[in-house]
Amino acid sequence: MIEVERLGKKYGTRAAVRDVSFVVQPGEVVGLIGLNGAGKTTTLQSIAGIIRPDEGSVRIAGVDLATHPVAAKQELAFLADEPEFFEYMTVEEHLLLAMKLYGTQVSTDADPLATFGLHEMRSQFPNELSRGMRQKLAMACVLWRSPKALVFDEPLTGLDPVGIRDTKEVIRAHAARGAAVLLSSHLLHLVQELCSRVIVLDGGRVVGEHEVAALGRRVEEPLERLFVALTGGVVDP
Amino acid sequence: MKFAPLYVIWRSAVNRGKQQATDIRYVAVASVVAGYVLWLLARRAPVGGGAELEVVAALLLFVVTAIAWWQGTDRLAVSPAARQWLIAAPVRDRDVLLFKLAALQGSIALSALILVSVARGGTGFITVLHFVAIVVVLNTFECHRFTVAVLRSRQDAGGRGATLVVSLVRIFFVFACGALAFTAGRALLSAPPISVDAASRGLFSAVRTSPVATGFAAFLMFVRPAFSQDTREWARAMVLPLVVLGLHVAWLANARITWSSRDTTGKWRAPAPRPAISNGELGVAARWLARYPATALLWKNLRTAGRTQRLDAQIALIVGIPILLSLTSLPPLRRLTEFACGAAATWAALLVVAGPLFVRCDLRLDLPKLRVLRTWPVTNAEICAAEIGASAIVLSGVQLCLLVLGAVSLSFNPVVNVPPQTQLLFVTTLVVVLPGMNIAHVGAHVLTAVLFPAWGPLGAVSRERSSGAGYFYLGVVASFISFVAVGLAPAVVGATAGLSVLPILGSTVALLLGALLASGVACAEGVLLMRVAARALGDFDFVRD
Repeated sequence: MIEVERLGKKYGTRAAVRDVSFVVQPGEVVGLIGLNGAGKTTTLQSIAGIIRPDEGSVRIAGVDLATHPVAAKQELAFLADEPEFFEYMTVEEHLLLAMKLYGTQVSTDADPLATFGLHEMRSQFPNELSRGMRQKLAMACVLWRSPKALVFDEPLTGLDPVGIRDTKEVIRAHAARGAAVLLSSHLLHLVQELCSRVIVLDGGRVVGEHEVAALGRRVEEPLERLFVALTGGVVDP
Repeated sequence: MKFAPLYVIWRSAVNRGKQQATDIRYVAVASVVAGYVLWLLARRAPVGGGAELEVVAALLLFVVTAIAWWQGTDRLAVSPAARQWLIAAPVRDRDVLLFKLAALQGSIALSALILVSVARGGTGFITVLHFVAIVVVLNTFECHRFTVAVLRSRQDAGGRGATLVVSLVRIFFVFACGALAFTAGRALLSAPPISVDAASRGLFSAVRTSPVATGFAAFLMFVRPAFSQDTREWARAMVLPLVVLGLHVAWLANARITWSSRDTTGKWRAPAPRPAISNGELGVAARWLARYPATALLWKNLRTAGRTQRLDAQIALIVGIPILLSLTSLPPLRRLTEFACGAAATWAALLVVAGPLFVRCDLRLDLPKLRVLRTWPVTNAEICAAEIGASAIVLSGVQLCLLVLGAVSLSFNPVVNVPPQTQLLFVTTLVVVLPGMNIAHVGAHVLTAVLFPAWGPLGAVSRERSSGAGYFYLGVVASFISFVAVGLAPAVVGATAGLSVLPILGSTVALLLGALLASGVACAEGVLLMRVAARALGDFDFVRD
């Protein structure tokens, strides 16, 4: 479970996030959507412990991130919008690093690199990979274990159609086994397809929280109309 | 899990070593550097060392510590990869600090090796002890920078205790700087006029012994083990640095770190926010420069140069130090003018020989953004020309200011009786020669950066921290060598032409003609280096390099 309560973060005098509260239940996939600069990445990075919020609290699987950061992060997997890698470490070494960081070994019959189509590239350096493959490497390093909470910032950007399909399946699988999943994306049709609930941010505040099922059956339009209406755009009649 | 961050350092070092060991360029230069260091170590008669060097080392430590307290440090700042891998992972703060400290050990060891070989030489046991002492001192200083960064981040988060500590230490440094300047001023005043040797001897002696400079004594004691003459003295002197290091480690191991946004978002070096400039508000020169892609690149780099902290700090140093020291030697005006002239000449000379190490608003900063530059409608030659031109312009501008300062100081000095015409001729000659030399010299540095992008001050990455002192020394040596190399042909051509017309046209015309020709040859060299750099830039492979 991911619990965010009255989260606030300022950059100088500008409030990037104000009074943001929500809960992602186990087994739930929640989408965080908003315009550029709405505060999505700040919110997600605050949940991941990268940014220290000025106000409010974050709890991962019931553990407070501020008071017990190590225990909270142990249950969390974070995938950044632009994954960064250590320049002089190979693909395989990154996976080994992830295992060392989380103190777990992957079972011998599972090869996360093969799962994400990186088997042939295990001795290559990250800067030799395409953007999509880098994204897959980041996922392989994050999703080989079974965290109780997953936070994805634009997880589908840069992936090929097969990669998008596989990633969607992986996200569904983790939710099905009881993980709380929070993801942000500008691809509204994918958000609608994957998520059971959406939270709309605008100007650093939560301006709407809706069950996707209640929006209607048509694939793209209902969420797009809702998004445009909530973020101050003009809705076509 | 605890040592997972160290795994990153170990594997990165091994892979980086393997990669560079298979590249003939890096192997060749590394061999030359290793040979140079071995030659320094193998000298029979140790040179350097002694009281003067001890004072200089303590003074440098004093200055960098004061700067750390005054400006803050970026020691807690983490790379984007470390941010995503370590901060977001279940890793304790102390392990992240351990990771950052461990990552410095390679450069600290190399720096210690170079410093000990330059200062002393010899391969005896005492040299090993000096090496250990420098490693301990550099590690202590880096831990101190961590401490400052932790305190400053607490201060940013509203911690009153941290604010009090930072303020008290700042007050100490203000008084200590004043006391040092006063002591130095008195020492300079008591020396005979125009006797650099006597003045420097008096200065070193005063700084070491004056009761006014008592606050400085701790820094002298701190660097003493690196200058000890025997094992027993070394062991005694090592007590202080080891105790200080132990205290720092103990404090940092238990410190609760408040990672600030600037540490985890990589915005530490972001320039201060400025109002947006619309095209309509651009000056005439800027509008003209921004008309063409290549000149727009030049304009971008000039704007960057004006907005970077490093340039601000240099200008503050160039202007501040002479003013501070001049004020302490108030009564006789000639002292002030002598000092101003000397300081200007020293800075100008340093900038001539090693200027491109300090002014880097060129391709060395833009190499990581080369992908973007390649999308612009400019040729590689235009990119190189614009990039080299920016640094050369900035360097020439600063040198010109120093020349004017030196000339004005000299004209007010009654002791140095140089006729105004001679001064004017001298300044004019330098004004003609220096831009050409700067173009050639910056060109050499830029070419080196393109050829060795993975290396420190020689390449694209700047290593300005104390742990990179060895790299900086190597950079200065390399810069000096490249300056001599690019200056040889212009000097020969200029001197030959000047001497050949001297009997016919007189000294003034001969000097100016020689300067013009030397500048022309230097410019031609710069163009040649630029073309080679452009060629290398065309072959630049992001994956390989």
